[in-house]
Formats: sequence, structure tokens, C-alpha cells
Amino acid sequence: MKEGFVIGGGFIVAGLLLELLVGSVNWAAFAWPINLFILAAFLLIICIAAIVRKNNYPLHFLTTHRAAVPALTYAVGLTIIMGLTRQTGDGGWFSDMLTFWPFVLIYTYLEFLLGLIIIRRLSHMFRHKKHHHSTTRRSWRHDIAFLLNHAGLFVTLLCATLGNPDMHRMSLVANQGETQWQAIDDEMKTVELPMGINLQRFILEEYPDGSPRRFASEIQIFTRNGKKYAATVDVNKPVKFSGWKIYQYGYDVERGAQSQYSILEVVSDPWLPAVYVGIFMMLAGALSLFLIRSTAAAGISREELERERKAREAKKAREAEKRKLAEEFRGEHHHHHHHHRHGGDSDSHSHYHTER
Amino acid sequence: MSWSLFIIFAIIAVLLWAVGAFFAFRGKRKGAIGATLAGLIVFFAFIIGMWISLQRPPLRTLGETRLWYSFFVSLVGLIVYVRWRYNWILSFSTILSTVFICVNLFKPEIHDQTLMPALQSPWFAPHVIVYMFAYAMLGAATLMAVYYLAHPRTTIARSLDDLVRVGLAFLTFGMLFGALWAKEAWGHYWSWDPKETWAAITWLAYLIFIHYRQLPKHRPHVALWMLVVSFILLQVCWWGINYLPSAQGGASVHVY
Repeated sequence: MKEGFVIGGGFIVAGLLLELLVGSVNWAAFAWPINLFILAAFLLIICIAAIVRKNNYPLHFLTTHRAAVPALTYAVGLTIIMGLTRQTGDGGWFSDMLTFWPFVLIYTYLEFLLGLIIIRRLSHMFRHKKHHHSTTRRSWRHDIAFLLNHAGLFVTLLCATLGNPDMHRMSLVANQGETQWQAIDDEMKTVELPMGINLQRFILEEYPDGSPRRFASEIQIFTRNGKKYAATVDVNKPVKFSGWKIYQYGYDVERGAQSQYSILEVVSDPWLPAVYVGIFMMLAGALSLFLIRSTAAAGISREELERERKAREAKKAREAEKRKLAEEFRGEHHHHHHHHRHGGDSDSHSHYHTER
Repeated sequence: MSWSLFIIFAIIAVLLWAVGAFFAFRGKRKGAIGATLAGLIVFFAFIIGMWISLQRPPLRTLGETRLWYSFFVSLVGLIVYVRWRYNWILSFSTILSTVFICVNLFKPEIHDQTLMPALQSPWFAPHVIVYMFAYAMLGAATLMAVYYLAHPRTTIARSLDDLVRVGLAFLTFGMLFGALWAKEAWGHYWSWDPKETWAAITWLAYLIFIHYRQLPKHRPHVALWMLVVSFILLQVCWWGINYLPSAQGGASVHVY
């Protein structure tokens, strides 16, 4: 496992050098179509690694737990730093962790490891089908669980990261009775939208204590070629329009129900379907954890499982015998004073010493 | 139903659980199961009562999540006892449950009625409940780990790995439900909000445990300590972030 920590450490050092030489990661530069090229290149590298990995010890090592554990440890360590520092997006090392090269490189390394182990598992599965007739009956369930979990994370992480530069979230202030064609992005720049939004009516319902129960906007959406659509935007119920989603974000809290404007959020996220695929794979993968009995845990094989089960049952039978004898013994000698260990006590304490 | 009645339900439930734990210790299986189940029913009755009187699921405030945690810890303890017959698990789960009940009694938050619009979503209940159940399973696993650390020559039962595996599965559900809900509510499935960051940290930590345990030459006591550390990270995620400087001042939508 030391090698794994050395490799991870190497990525940290490389990342620090990059920080000093070229500055923080500029995610905007990864926008379409660059992110598509990177996706293709990354998948290509993994495929090449898959082809050359036969008899290649370093690549084999990367597919083992001895590489996974250190990589995950570096990732969790950096994420803990992120969790303890205020993230301000100012390009600083810890205060803008998402643009910190060591952080990005470690997660990229993790993603690469994921790709390699997915390939390794797939090749095991198909090699088995061809050459071995005696595959254990339920190993395909383990394979599916493994693939769903690992490939699910692979897809989610890759598409969320590469898709992020193409994700646009902008604020739009819709004034009552005016059509607003402009939105403001998170760098405070004004952006022209392909649609205009007109606030027809702002709705605010309150609880008896004055806090908001519901706030929503009845809007009309205009396109550049004069088409008009009506919709209501609620919190938790965004309106879909032409590849965009419009969210209810805020309003003039001082004027409350009389707010003359509604703050909407306009979001475009082209890579979202790919991320959803990954997320659903991970959900299915998590579900499959209930349906398989982990034999790989603590290095126990299927044969050992069987042996343990038989040993447990033999032990139960022996103890039932013991109890029966003790009952008969007590029955015959009940009028004598006898201090002997009760069968019940030895049962409960023996659990601490046996392997189950 | 109101919080002022909580102490009555709590005392009854804890007494029943203590009786169940005592029966378990004496090897009286049926009595242990019966008493623990009765305690669970009493406690759950309070939760349902609050649900009805608040007209919303009692999942919004920290105090309310502690209710579910106490319930689930006892429930998980019972399941572990029924399934794997550890006589000490019911005492441990009763103690852990009681700790969180006491926190609720001695440090009550202001439990208000209203549910802000952002929380009026069908995702709200599943997201929080699934997380509370995960926390309970991982709490039980941590209890087992502490037990094994105190009794070093005991072979670690595989049920520990099973508990962590199921706990991690529920953590995954919770995280992903949160992501799917976030997309509907805020426009993005993951914004590295401090709560999300710490959820990822907790998730990764348990992943490390599971993968480390699969190394043939791993050291069991290191694995057990990993569980303890991971549980601490879990606590940070659950309520520790409220006190972290990095999450102050509106930096997190999850601060209670």
C-alpha cells in the first residue's frame, strides 16, 4: 500500500507545482467542445490501459485495493480541508478547493482507477463465460452490483465535472408587467437570453406567524419569433422551456405579497441526462448491496462461508444436546443442593469468543 | 401532542428498552424482543402524534431529527439482536438512544410549526429518514467497533461489515435523494455546500473502511479505529457543521 500513497503524494506535489507555475484550474476553459475532447481522450487512455495491462505490473497494481485505499484517503483528506475552510471562490489554495490542482488531480486519479477496475471486472466476467463452466451460481449478482456501483460513480463524477463548465445558472429579476430578456450570471455579467420573461402576478401565501408558506410567479414567456407561453413557477416546481429550467428563487421580502418583482433562476445544464444515468446506476448499485451477501468482506471465500454455516449448525445441535442432558440431570437430582453453571449463561457468553 | 409530553413517552420507552436489554443479557430472548418492541411502539406513537399535530413530518429541526435517530437506533439494535443474537447490543443501543433523548430534553430547540416552501417537497421525508436510518446503522456498527476495541482478542464478526455495508447503502440513498431534490429546488444537484461536502467526506470515509477490510493483510484494529473516526466525521456532517466557522453566515442552506 505504500506505493499507493507514494503515487497519490506524487499527484499532490505535481498539483502544487502546477499551482505555482500556471495558477489555479480555469474551469471556464473546459467549456464545450473542450470537455468533449477531454472525455474522449480520458476514455481512450483507459481503453489503451486495458489493452496493455496484461503482464503490466504497475497497471495491475492500480486495479487493486492497495491502490484504492490510499487514493480514497487522499481524496477524503483534501475534502476535509475543504469542509473546514470557508470556500470563497477567490482562487486561493484552500479557499477555492475546486480550482486547486492537487484536489483536481487526486479526483482525476480516482476516476482513472475506477475506469481501470471496471475494465478488469468486465474482462473477468467475459473470460469466465468462455473458459469456465463452473462459475459459482450467484457470482453474476456480485458482478452487477460491482459494476453498478463503480461505473455509476465513474459516470456521475466524469459527467458532473466535465459538464459543469457548460452549466449556466443565472438570476433574472422579472418586474411586474415588464418583459425581461436579460439575466445576470455568477460573475455579475449580463447575458442575453433567447427568451423574455414577463411577470404577470407574484403570489405569496403566509402562515399565521408571517413566514412564507408558498411563493410563486405567474409568468409569460416570449420567444424571439413572437410566440407566447404562460406558466407558473413554484419553489420545487421549476418550469421547463426550450432546454432551460426556470426556478422560483426570491422576491422583495420587504414588500412581501405586494412585491413588484420576482427573482427567478434560469438554468441550462446540457450534461444533466448523463449525470442522471450515473446517479440512477448508483441508486441501483446501493440497492444491490442488500441483495448480495458480501463474501469478499474480510477476505472470506464462499467455501469458508459454507464451512462456517455448517460449524454454526453443528454447534447449535451440540448445545441443544447439552441443554437436554442438563435438564435430565436436574430432574434426577433436584432435591440435592447443586451449584452448577446454568446452560443459559454459558450460551450468552460464548458468543464473544466464536467466529460467526 | 406537543414537546411537553415528550418526557413521559421517553421515560416509558427507555424503561421498556432497559427491561428488554436486561432480558437479553439474561438470555430471555422472547422477553427481550417483546419489551424492546413495546418501547419502539410507544416512542413511534409520539413521533406520529407530533406529525399529526404539526401538520407536517417532524423532520425539519435538529431536535426532530434526533427523535428519528433515537427510534432508529433502537430499531436497528433490535434487528441486529434478532438476526445475530448479540446479547449486549440492546444495552448499547438503549444507551445510545437515551443519550439523544436526553439531548432533546436538556437542549430543546424552538420547534416551530411552519415548513418553508423549499422543504415542501416529496423528497423531504425520504431524504432525511433514509439518512437517519443510515446514521443509526453506522452508530450500531461503531458501538460494535468500540466493543471489539475493548476486547482485542475477539474475532470480528462479519455482521460488522454487513452493518457498515447497509449503512453505506442508506448513506448513498440519502446523498443521491438530496442531489435529485436539489436539482428540483435550487437548480443544481451538487453545489459543495458545507453539508454536502461533509456528506461526501462521511461517504468516502466508510468507503475506505469497506475497501481496507477487503485487503487480506489488513490490520483489524486499524479498521475498527476507522469506524470510530468515520462516525466522528458523520457527527460533524449531521450537526457539527452548525458550529464550524466555514459554514457560518449563510454559507450553507442546511444549517438548522
